[in-house]
Formats: sequence, structure tokens, C-alpha cells
Amino acid sequence: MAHKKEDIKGELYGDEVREKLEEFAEKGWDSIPEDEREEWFTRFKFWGVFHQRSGQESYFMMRLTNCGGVLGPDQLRAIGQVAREYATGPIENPEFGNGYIDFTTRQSIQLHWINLEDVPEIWEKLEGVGVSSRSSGGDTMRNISGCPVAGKADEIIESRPILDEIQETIRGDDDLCNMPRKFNISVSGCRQGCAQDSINDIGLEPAWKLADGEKRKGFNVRVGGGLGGREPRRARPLDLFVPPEKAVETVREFVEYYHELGNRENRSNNRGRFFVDEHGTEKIRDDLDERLEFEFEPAGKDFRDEYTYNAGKPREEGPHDHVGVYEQRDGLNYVGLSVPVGRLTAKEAIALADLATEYGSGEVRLTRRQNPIIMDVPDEDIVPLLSEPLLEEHTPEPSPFVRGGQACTGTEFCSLALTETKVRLTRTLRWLRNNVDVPDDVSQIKIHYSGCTADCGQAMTADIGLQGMRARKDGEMVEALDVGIGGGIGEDPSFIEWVHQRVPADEVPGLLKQIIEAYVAHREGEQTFREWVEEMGVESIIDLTEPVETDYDDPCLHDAKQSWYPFADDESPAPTRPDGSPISADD
Amino acid sequence: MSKRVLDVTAYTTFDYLQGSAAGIDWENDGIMVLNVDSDEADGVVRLSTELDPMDQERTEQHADHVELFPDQARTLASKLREAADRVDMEVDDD
Repeated sequence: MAHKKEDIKGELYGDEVREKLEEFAEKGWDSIPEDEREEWFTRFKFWGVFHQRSGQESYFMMRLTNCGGVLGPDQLRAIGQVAREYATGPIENPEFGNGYIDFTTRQSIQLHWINLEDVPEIWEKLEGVGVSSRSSGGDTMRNISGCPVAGKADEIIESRPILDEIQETIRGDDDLCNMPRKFNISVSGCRQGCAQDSINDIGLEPAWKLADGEKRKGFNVRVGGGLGGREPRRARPLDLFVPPEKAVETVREFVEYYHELGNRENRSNNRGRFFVDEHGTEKIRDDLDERLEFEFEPAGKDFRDEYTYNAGKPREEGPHDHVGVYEQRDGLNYVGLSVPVGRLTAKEAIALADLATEYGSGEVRLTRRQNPIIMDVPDEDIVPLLSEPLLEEHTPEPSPFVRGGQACTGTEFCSLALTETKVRLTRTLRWLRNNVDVPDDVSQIKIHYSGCTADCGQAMTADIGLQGMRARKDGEMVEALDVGIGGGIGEDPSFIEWVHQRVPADEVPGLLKQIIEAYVAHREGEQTFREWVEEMGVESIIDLTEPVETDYDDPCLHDAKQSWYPFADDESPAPTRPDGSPISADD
Repeated sequence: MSKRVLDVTAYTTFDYLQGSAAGIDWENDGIMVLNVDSDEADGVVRLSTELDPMDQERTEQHADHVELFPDQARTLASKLREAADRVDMEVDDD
């Protein structure tokens, strides 16, 4: 029996949803019949419109889309202007105020506190500069991820044309809009591995083969990778090499294969990684071989042993992120900013767009680590750009803590999360910067925080991974975190192992300080954190550390999940009209 | 030490309960997650429990699942209600 979501999607999904959403927007929030809300909210997600959590009725999050993190000139400015005008809620965030944007781990942007009534106007403004929200949520192909500086930095294979074609012909195909579950595609052309293919449903990685004494470049294909607390998986090799001109049709065939055969009954095990478990890579390869007309070749020699992106390797082996100033292959430069937890105020986003135009080509690109990059900056403009106030705040030379921080949305807006994330991690990173000394050669300690085991913040692949939980402290339920160490991507992805669980949130910074101080004291030479954990062993690190209170002041220790907003003391005004006035039950 | 087997989110039935795993001559006390969900495709209600991974000293990291047909789930619910009533009465008498 098909899952009830399949009935909802079967009735209406994909591009057709837009017209209905516009109708509801015109008539107002309360025109959606209460007993139909669940089904409409399921459909709206295809268009990137997500109803926020309980207590925030009538407010939506909007997730925007792009391909490989590229925002053309004027696009970020338009997004910032929309955030300033429409992404304002009935309450201020204690760190970020009102009107902000969130960079995501899939090179995208999210806006919060959007009123349904404003969605058509927002679409008009954003689509006017080529920004869409289509296919950014629900059971569909999500942002196609790629190296954010593809086409500008050195690549083994040019990936931009392939990314663009996948975006246009596969993700844009309405016949494939209704997948069994969300589906992630990535294409890498670089040596760093920054598209993180190993955590995608299908990932293409650069590889080469010798033929008639010449090197042929192409891609090796991996399938079935993904995070999520329950049984994360590395993508598994199909032992398949495809030449660049066959890349798009190979991806299309696997998408169609999963679209046809993926489980539509049981949503608890129908993600691509479980599909690959069920069918096995040999059968999948055989089936694809039968479905595709070109001759299959075994995998080529890959470049995985050179991957440095979040790989936990020493920095002399290559960049572990895009933060800093790097030369492009055309002689210009790109400048990667560090935005802690990925959140910029609307004002900062507009300022960033202006700087990108003043000093570069106007293009801004987004990484998988929730950070933006200003592209195409000439040598002579680097120093003046770096002395701009925004780059002093979100500096390309941050402390390793700020540099390594990323967080999911958390209970501020997400109905799945158990704890608040972004404000807590912002304050934790600041506290670590002020209270923990590390040697100059330590440039990376990646701390990723997810509000629950769904792991949208990618805690599983961090040096130090945090996941939201609850605990009892002094007789009261408090927000707590599971704390694990030793994850990373690179050639051989590893997932964190727990060192302490259900640590009350106010004791986490003290624990992190001990873990980092143990690393500094016991590492050999210039070992990275990941190398140190591997050598030291998790058990020894458990013995060396314990949760402890410090002068760190937690923003919402006492189980803020129960309130309508983690930092609110009063009652929720929701649902409201676009002007913020409450819609009372009598209306 | 390993990952949690069960998802723990705001939709989890209980994310914090006292529990234990016991053998013939040993017992591990700890914090437990308990979740109830329905599997319409298989026609069963599934009750799952997992002791926190770091509290599982004597066993391999694991979760336990019990599958109940709808009638069995209702029987369990009524037994739980009866037991809860008895505990409440005891507390009231105290």
C-alpha cells in the first residue's frame, strides 16, 4: 500500500502546485482549509515554501535554489532586499535581529518568517533576476552540488557545463518531479572533493583511464551516500567509468531508475542509500548497463587520495575549505568569507552583493560549508576589499573555531529539531575563541551542530559533531547535546564516535575546551584533529574529558522546545496577517 | 561506541526515559528512547526502544523492535492505561 504522501503527490505535485499556491496567497492564509493544511504544506515544499513549526502558524520558510552554488550578479542583492522587506517576524533573534538569510550546507539560501500572501511578490522580484525556489524541497531533486569555484579554479574536468545540463534537463523535468524521496546529485571536477560526492545519492568524481597510450578523462560513478543519524552511508562505487559526454545521460538513467523502482510505501527506509542497500551495486550496475546504450567500462583511476576538503589533512596538502584568498586560473582571485553558522543579516547580504560588484564581477558563490565567496577580484583590489568592514567581521582569516562552525536551523523554525542551534553555536564559538588557545598551525577544528539525528547540520562528518538531545539537570529537563569526534570526508569518509551523550547545553563549551586542550597537549607534531583522534582512540579521549559548567551563558537551556520561539517569554501572536496583526479565531 | 540506531527528533514518542538492559546476572541502567510508529504497508504498529549507546556496556549497540497488529496494540494500550491507573491510585492513597 502506497504511503499517504504518495496519494497527496499523485493528486497534484510539481509545477502545477504553483498555481494553487498563488490562489491561496491571493485569498490569504486562512483560505487554506484547516483539514487540508497538511496536504497543501506537503505540496508547497516542491516550490520551496515550508510552513514553520507549531506556534508559528501562517509563517513560512522559503528555500531558494541554484546549481552548484552560483549566484549571478544582482542575485544576492535581490535576495538581501527580499529578506529585508519580507523575512521579518514578530520577534527578534537575540544575535541576528530581524531580517536575515541562512546559507545552507547544500549551497543554497533560506529565508524565514515569510507570509504566504507575499510569496507571489517575492517570486516576481527574485525570478526577475533569475532566482527560483522550484524543486528545493519535498520529494524531489535538491540543489545539484558541485565545486563552488568550478570554471574559475583548476579542474581536472570542466564540470560547469555538466552541472548546468543536469539542472536544466533533469532537475527541470516536471515528469521527474515526484521522486520517492528527496534525491541528491553532485558532480566534481576538482582535486579537492568539495562537492562531497560521498554523501550524495549519485556522485560523479573525476577519474582517468589509459587508452592507446593516452589519458582519457571522465568520471567514476558512486551511488547511495547520505547522512541522517539513522544509518549514514558513504556512497558506494559502481565500478563504472563514464566519459564526460555520457555523464548527463548516466545521471538521468539512475534518477529514472530510482524514480521507477524506489520504495513508495515505507518512508522510513526509502532514501537512495537504502535503495542501494536493497538492490546492491552489482545489480544496479547491470540494470543501468541494460538501460543505457553505450558500452560500460570499469572504474578509472580516481583522485580521491588527493581530496583535502574537510578531509582532516594538514593544510600544506591543500585547502580544507574555501575560506581565504585564492588565485583563479584566469589570474583574478576569489575571496572566501567565513560566516559563522551561515547566517547573515539582510543588511550584510546587500553589503556583500555591493562589494562583489565593486571589487569583483558581482558573482557570489556559495560553498557546502555555509560560506559565501566573492569571485573575480583583481590582485590590486584584494587589500582594499579585505579592509572593508564586512570582511573584518566575516574575515577570510578567522579563528579555527569560527571557521569550522556550521549549524542546521534548529528549534527556532524547524519542527523536527530537539534543540536551538544557531545562536547556541554562535555563542559557543565566540566563547571558545576567547577561552581556548591553539597553536598557530591549527587552522581547522570543524564543529558541526544538528538539532536532532536527522543531521541536517552534518554533525556526522565533523571533527567535533554535536546533536540535539534532552537531559535532566537539577531536577529539570534541559536542552542537551550528544558530543562526538573524529568525522570527516576526503578519500575515506568517517563518521563521529560519541564521547559524551546528553551533555546539558551549558556544560558543552567546557567539555569542548577540554577536548581541544587534550588535542593540543597530546598531538604529535602538527597532527590535525582528525589524525589525532584516529591515533589516540576515542576511549582515551573519553577518559581525559568531562562535561563541566563554565562562565558560558547558554541562551535557552531550559527546554525551549516547549515555547513558540526559543527566546520568547510571551505568547505567540501567530497566525498573523502580513502586517503582523494577529488573525483571531473570531475573524 | 556507535551511532544511535533510532532517530531522535521532536516527533519521537519519548526521547528521555529511565530504562535498563538486563541479563542473568547483570543489569545496565541508563537513559532510553522509546518510539511508537505505524507501518501501514506491513499493517503493524512498531514499538522500538534503545538504551543510549554509551549506556550499553554489556551489549552490542542496538535497538529493539516489537511489531504489533492493531488489535494487539490496542490491548497493550489498555493494559498500559490500567497499569497507569493503578499507579495513580497508589500515589493518591499515599
